[in-house]
Amino acid sequence: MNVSRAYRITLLTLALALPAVICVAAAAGAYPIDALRIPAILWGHLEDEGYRILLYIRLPRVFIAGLVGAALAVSGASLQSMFRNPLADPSLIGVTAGAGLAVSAWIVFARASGLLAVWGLPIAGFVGGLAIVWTVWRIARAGGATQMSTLLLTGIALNAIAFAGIGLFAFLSDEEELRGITFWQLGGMTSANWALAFAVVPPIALGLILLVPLGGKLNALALGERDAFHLGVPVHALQRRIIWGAAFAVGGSVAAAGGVGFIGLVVPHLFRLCCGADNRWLLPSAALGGAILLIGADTAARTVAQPAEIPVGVLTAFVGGPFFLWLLVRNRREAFYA
Amino acid sequence: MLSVDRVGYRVESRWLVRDVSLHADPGEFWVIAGANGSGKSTLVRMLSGELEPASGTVTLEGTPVSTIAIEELARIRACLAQEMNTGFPFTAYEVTLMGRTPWHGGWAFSGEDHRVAAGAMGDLGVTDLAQRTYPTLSGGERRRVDMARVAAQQPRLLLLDEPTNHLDALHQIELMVWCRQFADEGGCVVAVLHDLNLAASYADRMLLLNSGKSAALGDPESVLTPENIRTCFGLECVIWRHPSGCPWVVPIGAANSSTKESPVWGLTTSHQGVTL
Repeated sequence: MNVSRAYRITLLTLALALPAVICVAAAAGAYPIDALRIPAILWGHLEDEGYRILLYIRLPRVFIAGLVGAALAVSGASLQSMFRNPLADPSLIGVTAGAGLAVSAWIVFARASGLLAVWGLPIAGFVGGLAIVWTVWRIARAGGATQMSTLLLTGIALNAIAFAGIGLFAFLSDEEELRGITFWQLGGMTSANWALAFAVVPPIALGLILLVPLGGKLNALALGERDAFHLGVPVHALQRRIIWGAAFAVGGSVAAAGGVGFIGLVVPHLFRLCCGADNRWLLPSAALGGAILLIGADTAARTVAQPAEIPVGVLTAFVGGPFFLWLLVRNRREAFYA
Repeated sequence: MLSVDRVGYRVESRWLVRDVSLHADPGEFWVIAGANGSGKSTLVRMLSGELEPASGTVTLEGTPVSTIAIEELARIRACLAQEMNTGFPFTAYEVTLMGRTPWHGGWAFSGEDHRVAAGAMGDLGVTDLAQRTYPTLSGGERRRVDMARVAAQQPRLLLLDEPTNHLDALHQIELMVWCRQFADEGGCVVAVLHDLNLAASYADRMLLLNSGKSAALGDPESVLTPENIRTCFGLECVIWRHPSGCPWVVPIGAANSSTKESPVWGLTTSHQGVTL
């Protein structure tokens, strides 16, 4: 069947595009670096200014943007299959905000310093994310399917609660803590460094390892919980694994980059528009596509208004919001029973 | 093949199905019929292993269904649930191919998997729909693609819950012929049907359910009597003959209507012995 050719070409294109995008992103910025010379600079270990800027400023930032983009896109695709609902997104159903609330609480109350200050963030993000995915799953699910309206309304309520909590923490916090919380609200990679990058690698990697191989089972689950059971898929174990995986991935990415929205919605949809819905191809492609999209968005955010920086969360919301509206209009009929 | 021994299922104190038994062998085509809410779907869900009976046992090829691993179960029986829809743009071919999930764990499909899926689409007459996306299909087309997916699972036992829903008259018959052939080749089919005449024409054995209890069990000839149909459906009817010789149920009107007058033909039930 030639359907699988479109999948194969898309995945291959994304795999080839990612290294190119990384080089271009690492080259862009106030200090000009030739993109083609990047491999030479890194391997040559020239201890000049370009090497230091590349290694300690640009690359950790590109690395984190890539990880976060991959984590959010894969979580979005998996949650959409779990809720059997193409409009589910970690930020829309409140998972991002819940993780952000936990991260803010950690910033304000733990007052940790040193290593714990950095490593505590992904743990807090994971706990907050897990609590929200689980809550949404319990509330929005009825009789083996989720109602579109219930899902989005649950998301609105949980977002409101989480943002109220974050507002309260902002009110209680001192100036330095407030900066941390504001940074989270806008979302961005401004505080990127290798220490933070390494702190969020374990949860995000764990999330991706749990989620990416699930493609075949997610396909069956997209037919319905009963149909998946009839096809021999252990539905409850699968759902538990998605909840844990999404909590790890979103928790880690919120700790690294704050509330970056809509990546989990836009990337899987673009893929489905280009080739189709097969999750075996969608999940790895979403990981690559999410990484490319967020690296690109972050590069745009820090270069378009140089030397000032636009928070990347603001940028993704400007693009993702209208995209979401367009999807709603397009699927108006299907969306409510999907 | 499938042994059902006095199974029951209850929600709180209300029994949806109670003390139903049947024994289906390879080569048999069973039809379960009954009024709305008589427990047909609940029974099928117990047969498929989806619901655990509150009493009694369901045994598949000598092993209790509840003790068979669900991956193994999916290689023995396939099940067509009542309605299915998805908001994702899977093609009809991809949906059919999902029927192969229990045979390889759902990652890479072999050439054999593709052959079986394409063959199932051919058998069910949906090859033309292969590249259409599932959400854009009509209700009847979706039903036939689902049927192809169930066939691609290559089960020994088929459990079908109202498989003829949304199908036009010709496709209903084609589906019944396919099921008959599946049974004749050594498979076993258990289907819930509302159309008693389709059941009479193609089934070997019938089970009539009335309020969750077994009201009649046997071949269509002995099950489809005016008395049984009056008890289970509250419907007056006469039994005629199809040109093939099968019983043909001709409804007259509601059994308990006060005027005893059929709304359709204006016949009274006293006419039922008379040649109409």
